[in-house]
Amino acid sequence: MIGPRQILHRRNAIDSIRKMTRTMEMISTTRYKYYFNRWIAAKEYHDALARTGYLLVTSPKLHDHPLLKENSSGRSAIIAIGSNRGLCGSYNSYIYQAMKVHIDKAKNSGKKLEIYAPDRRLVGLLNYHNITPAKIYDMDEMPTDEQIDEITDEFLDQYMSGKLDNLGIVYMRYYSVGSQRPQTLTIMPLTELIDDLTTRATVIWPWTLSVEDFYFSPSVTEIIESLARMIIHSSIQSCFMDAILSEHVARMIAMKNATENAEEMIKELSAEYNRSRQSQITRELLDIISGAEAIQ
Amino acid sequence: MNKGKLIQVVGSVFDAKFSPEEVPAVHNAVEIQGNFRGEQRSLYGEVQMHLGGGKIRAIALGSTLGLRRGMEVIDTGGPLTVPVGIETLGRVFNLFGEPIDELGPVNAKVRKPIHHQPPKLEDLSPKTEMFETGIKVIDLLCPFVRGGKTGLFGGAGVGKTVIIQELIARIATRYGGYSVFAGVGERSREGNDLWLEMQKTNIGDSNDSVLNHTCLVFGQMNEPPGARLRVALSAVTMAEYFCESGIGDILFFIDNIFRFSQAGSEVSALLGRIPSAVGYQSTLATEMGQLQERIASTKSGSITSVQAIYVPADDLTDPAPAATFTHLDSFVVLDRAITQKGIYPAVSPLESTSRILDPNIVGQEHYDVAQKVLEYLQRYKDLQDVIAILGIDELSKEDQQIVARARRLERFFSQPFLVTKQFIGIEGKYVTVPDTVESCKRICDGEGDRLPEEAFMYVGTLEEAILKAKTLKTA
Repeated sequence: MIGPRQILHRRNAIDSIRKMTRTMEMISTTRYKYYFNRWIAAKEYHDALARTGYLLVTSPKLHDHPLLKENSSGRSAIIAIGSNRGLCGSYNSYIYQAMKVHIDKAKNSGKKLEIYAPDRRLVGLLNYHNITPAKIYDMDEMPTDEQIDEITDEFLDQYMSGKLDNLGIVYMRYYSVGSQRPQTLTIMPLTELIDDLTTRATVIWPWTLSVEDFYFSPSVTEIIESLARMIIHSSIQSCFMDAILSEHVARMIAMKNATENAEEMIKELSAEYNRSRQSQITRELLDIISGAEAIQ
Repeated sequence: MNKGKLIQVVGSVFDAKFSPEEVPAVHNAVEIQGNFRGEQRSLYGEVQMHLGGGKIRAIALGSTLGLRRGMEVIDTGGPLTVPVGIETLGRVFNLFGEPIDELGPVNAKVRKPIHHQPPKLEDLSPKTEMFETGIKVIDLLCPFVRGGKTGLFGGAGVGKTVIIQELIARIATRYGGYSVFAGVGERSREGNDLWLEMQKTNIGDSNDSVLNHTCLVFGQMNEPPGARLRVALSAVTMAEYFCESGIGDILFFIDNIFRFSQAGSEVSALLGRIPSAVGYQSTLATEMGQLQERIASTKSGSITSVQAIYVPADDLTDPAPAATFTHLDSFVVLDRAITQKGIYPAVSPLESTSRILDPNIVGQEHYDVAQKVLEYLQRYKDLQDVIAILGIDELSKEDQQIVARARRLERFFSQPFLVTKQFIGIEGKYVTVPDTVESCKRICDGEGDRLPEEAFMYVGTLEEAILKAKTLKTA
C-alpha cells in the first residue's frame, strides 16, 4: 500500500500533465483555425489550376512532350508527410501503413522506391523499421514557397530527363473536422495528377468546354511546362496544408481525451488519498487511545 | 498432585491461585476438570504469567464456556506434549495431539513438549539448492529453496489456500518424504477437503496414498484463540521430530501463519500487555521468532516449509506480515490487481523475490532471463500512467514493443492448476524450470510478438501458446 504522501505526489504529477495536455489542445485549436482559413482561400486557386491543366493535357499537340510521356526507369519516389510534433494519436502509424503499401508493392515488382520526408516524427518511426529516407528535408510546420519550388524543380527535372517514373505524396487528407484519411496523391506522371485533381475538385466543372474552344498564346507546348510547375507546386503545398490541418485535428482530439483521462485519474487518486489519509488518522488515534487505556 | 483454585475468568484468559511454594512453571499446562454446563469434560490452559502470591495467569486452550470461579485447577507438571514419529502419519490431530479423524487412538512411542529451544546455529545446514514446483512464475522469479522457508503473501480471496493446496498436490505427490500440514485459524471445511483429497491421491504411480505420508494438525477458526495460538507449535513439534530423528526430509505447510499472530493479539490485551502498533501485541516479533526459528533445516534432516500469510487490507507494511518477512528465503506476493485481470496464480512478479535468485545457484541463464523479464515488466508499470492518459500510440516504437512483450509475459504467467481442474476445466500443467526459462527467453526476444495476447492465457510452454493461437485463429 502506498502512503498518502506518495498518492499526493502522483496526483500533482498527473495534474501537471493535465495542464500540459489542455494547453496543447488550445494551441492546436487556434492553429487549426488559422490554417483552415488559408485552406479555404487556397481551394479555389487549386481548382482553377486543375481545370486549366485538364484542358491542356487533352490537347493533341502535346503527345510527345516529355512531361506527359510515361517513363520506365524502374525508379519511383514518395514524399511522406508525417506529423510535425508528437502527441497526436496514431497519425504517424496511419501514414506508415499507407507507405507500407507502396514499399511492399515496389518490393514485389522489383522496382526501386526512394522515400523523401520532412525532418519530423515519422523519420524516427522509419528508422525503427530500418527504412532510410533518401533525403530528409529541413522545414517548418508549413514549408516556404522557396522550399516547395526546390522540391518541384528537383523532381520535375528528374522526370523530364526520364530518371523517374512516379512521384507520390503520402499524407493525411483533410475532408472535414470529423474526417481525415491517409492517402496518396500521385504528382507525376502529370496526367495522373490532373486526373486525380479533377475528380476531387469541389467546383462545378465546365464540361462543355474543350481545348478547341481556346486560343493559346504563347502556344500550348510553351505554356505546359510552367503550368505544370505551378500545378505541382500548388499540389505539394495543398498536401502539406491538408497534413497540417489533419495533424491539428488529431492533436485536438488526442489531447482532449488525454485531459479527460487525466481528470478521471485525479478524481480517483483524490478519493484514494482521502481514504488513506483518513485511515492513517484513525490508526494513529486508535494507537494513542488504546495505549492510554492500557497504562491506566 | 499440585492443585489450585480458579479465581478469575476474562474471555479466554483465566487466573488461578496455587500455594505460593508450588506455583506451576511458565508454559506448564494446567487442567481444569469438571462439570461445564452439564457436560463433564476437561479444559487445558497454558501458564503465561506469575502474578505474585501464588497467582498465575493462563491462556485457555479450549472453550471457556461454562467455566466458573472456584473450580479446581491441576498442574500437569510440564508443557503440553504431542505424539510424534511415524505413528502420526496418515492421521489428523488437534493441538493436544488427540486424533480427530475417529480412527482410534494413536500408539506413538514418543511424546514431545510443544515448547522447545530452536536448533543451534552450528547445527543448521548451509546447503542451498533450488526446489522445483512446476509453476512458471514461481520457478522463474521466486524459486523455492530446498530446506528453506517460503511465504505466500496475499489479501483476502486472492488465492493463497489454492496455491498451498496446489503445492501439496504437486510436491507431495512426487515427493517420497513425509509432509506435515498445519491448519491454523482458516476455514474448518478446508481440513475436511484436504483429508478426503489426500486419501484419493496416490504418490506417483504407487498404490500408496498421499495421506499415508502426511500428518495433519488442525486448529481452525472454530477454535478459541488459545488453540489457534498453540496449534502451530504442536505441528512444528511433529515436523521437528521427523527431522531430528533422521526419519527424513520434511515438507511443512502452514495455512495460515497470520492467524497465529492474530490469536496472539486477541489474548495479549487480556493478559494485560500494552498493545503496540496497530493494536498488535508488543511481543509480536518475539512470538513469531520463537515459532519460525524452530522451522529450520539441520544436519540431520531438512524442513522445507511453505507458509500462507494473510495480508490485512492488502497492506504489506502491516506489522504482522512485516514480522514474518525477515524469516523467509522466498517471498511469493499475490496481488489483487492481477486477480482482477483474471490471471491465476496472481503472483506479483515485481514484488515476489527469492534469496536464491542468484546466478551462482539458479545458473546464469535463468538469472539473466529473470532480470530481463523484470526489466520489461517494470518498464510497463512505469509507462502505465502515460498509457492511461495519452494512449499507447504516444509511446515510442521501442516502448510499444516492451509493453506488448510485458503484456504477453504477464499473461504467460497464468497457469492451469491440478487442483482447479474441476472449476476451470483445463488440465493442470507442470512446466520444468528449463522449459520455463527457455519460453520466457523466447518471449523476451520477440518470438511471441505476432501471437494474440489471448493465446498466452493458461498454457504451459510457448509451444502450447503457438498451438493455442492457431486454434484461436480457426475458431
